[in-house]
Amino acid sequence: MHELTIALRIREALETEFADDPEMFVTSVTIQVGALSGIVPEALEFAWSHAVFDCDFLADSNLVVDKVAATGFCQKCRENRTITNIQSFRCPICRTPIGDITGGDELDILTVDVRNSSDSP
Amino acid sequence: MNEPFPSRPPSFVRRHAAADTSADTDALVALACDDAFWVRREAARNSETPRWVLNLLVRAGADPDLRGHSGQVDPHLRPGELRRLVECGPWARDLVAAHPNTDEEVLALLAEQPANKLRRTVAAHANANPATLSALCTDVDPDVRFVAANNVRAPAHVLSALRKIGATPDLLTVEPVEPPTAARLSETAALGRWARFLAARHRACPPELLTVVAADDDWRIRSALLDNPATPGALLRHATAASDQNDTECLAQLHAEDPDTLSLEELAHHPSPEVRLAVERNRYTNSEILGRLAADEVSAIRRVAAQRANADTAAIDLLIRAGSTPDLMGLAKPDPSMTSDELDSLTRGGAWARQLAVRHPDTGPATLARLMCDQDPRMREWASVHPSAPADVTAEIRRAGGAVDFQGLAEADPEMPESALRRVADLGPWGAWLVSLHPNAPRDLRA
Repeated sequence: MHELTIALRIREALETEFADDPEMFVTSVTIQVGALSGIVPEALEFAWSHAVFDCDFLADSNLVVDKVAATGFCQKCRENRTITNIQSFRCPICRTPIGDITGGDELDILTVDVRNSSDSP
Repeated sequence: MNEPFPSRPPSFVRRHAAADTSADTDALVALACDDAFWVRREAARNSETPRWVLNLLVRAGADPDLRGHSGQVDPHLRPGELRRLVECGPWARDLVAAHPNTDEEVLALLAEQPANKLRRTVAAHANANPATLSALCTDVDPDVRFVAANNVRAPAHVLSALRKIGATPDLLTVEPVEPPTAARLSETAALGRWARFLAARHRACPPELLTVVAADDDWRIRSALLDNPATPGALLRHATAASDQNDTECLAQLHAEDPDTLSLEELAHHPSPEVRLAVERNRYTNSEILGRLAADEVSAIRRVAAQRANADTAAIDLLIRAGSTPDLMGLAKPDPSMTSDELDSLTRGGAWARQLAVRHPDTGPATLARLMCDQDPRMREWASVHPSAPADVTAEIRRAGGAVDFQGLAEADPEMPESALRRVADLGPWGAWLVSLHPNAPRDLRA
């Protein structure tokens, strides 16, 4: 439910990163969002346009969300498994409850593609 | 207490490691190829990061700061150099998968990686060989299949075999076909996981193949058994045991030969997306239910609704005009000629319809006032920041106890008159809830 706040935080992070590059315009930002991050990717995409509309170097940027599945280590199978149903943290093969979560909480900025203000858009 | 993610520290820790000039060389190579951009940027600034890896990344298409793509690749980069990058890290693999000189052996290796985005890039590559594309045509991810099916090197006999057992030409979903024979199903199922999914949906599917599908680690593949009326009950129970008990019962109900419309309607509101998806795929689901599911909050469910032959086209057209892409997966430019009645009707639909209504620039104050008291906190927050949000209603909701961001509770104005409280309660479920907690709430609104 806090996607707008998260979009604003991403904007702040990029403003800090690009403070020394006044000539740069961001064309595309790719975000990695894990299934356990508590973020609805569609809501984040939607919030992005609201969060950056008044920011010159981000206003025309496109937000791309790269979704990552939740994964956990199954103690019985001794394998890392993809958790296909996050309502039920069980190994998809042997149904053993999974306690060791190994991935799925990601929220990272993967890439920021830019163009120089002198380049044609 | 156990470290929740023992295999990999979070990106802010990796970022500090990337700035450390005393870090191990191999670690700096890996951090220069990290998937988070600020980790890579620190590694690029670190004077101890080996020049060869920075040089190779830039030649493969990275910008000099390793923030993103430069838009230019070195056409003289050799396959051996690209192969060396594959071992370095996820960002390097992304660049290698997109480089025109990557050879088919490396692409075959990348096609087995768990990252969907990477497999999609491989599926679009001109050097991907027919064997790799054949595997990607039966990938679990529909977008990977779609891209692979559109690659000119995709083997025609594989596409044809998949279509004969029910795949649509774009490999995104399924369509009714003449019942295939058991021999054809067995033969096609050997192509890969999604091929097994397609085969397991048919009555003639051999029992041993149903058993293999029931043990698949992905629920989406196992769900094929729900579509097959010949699936033995024991196998169905095994296949759906990963869901909780309530979900399992609902899924078993959907598997019945002829579930009644009432139960399908109820199940279309089920909180589990798996159950809603199964309702959508059920052959008895009518267009009215499909119309509701076209506005579901889960994009995969919306996409299937848009693809069903008996989809509610009027409902889907309305969503597209309101600013949805035709596949109902994402956002597009909204139609500026939408009437206020049409926008208002969206507020009575699912989460996606309400999201489109709150985003549309022409949505009027009365509609926004209702969305400000929606049960979904995101809708409330977005409606409250819409340029046409009515200031008087916003102030009244806050006086009734709504927080500034419309997400939670704040201190209510104890002097608020009963008439104003009734207005807020009439706006929607959240308004009624706020008023029920107000010290001046009339008795009938406290219930």
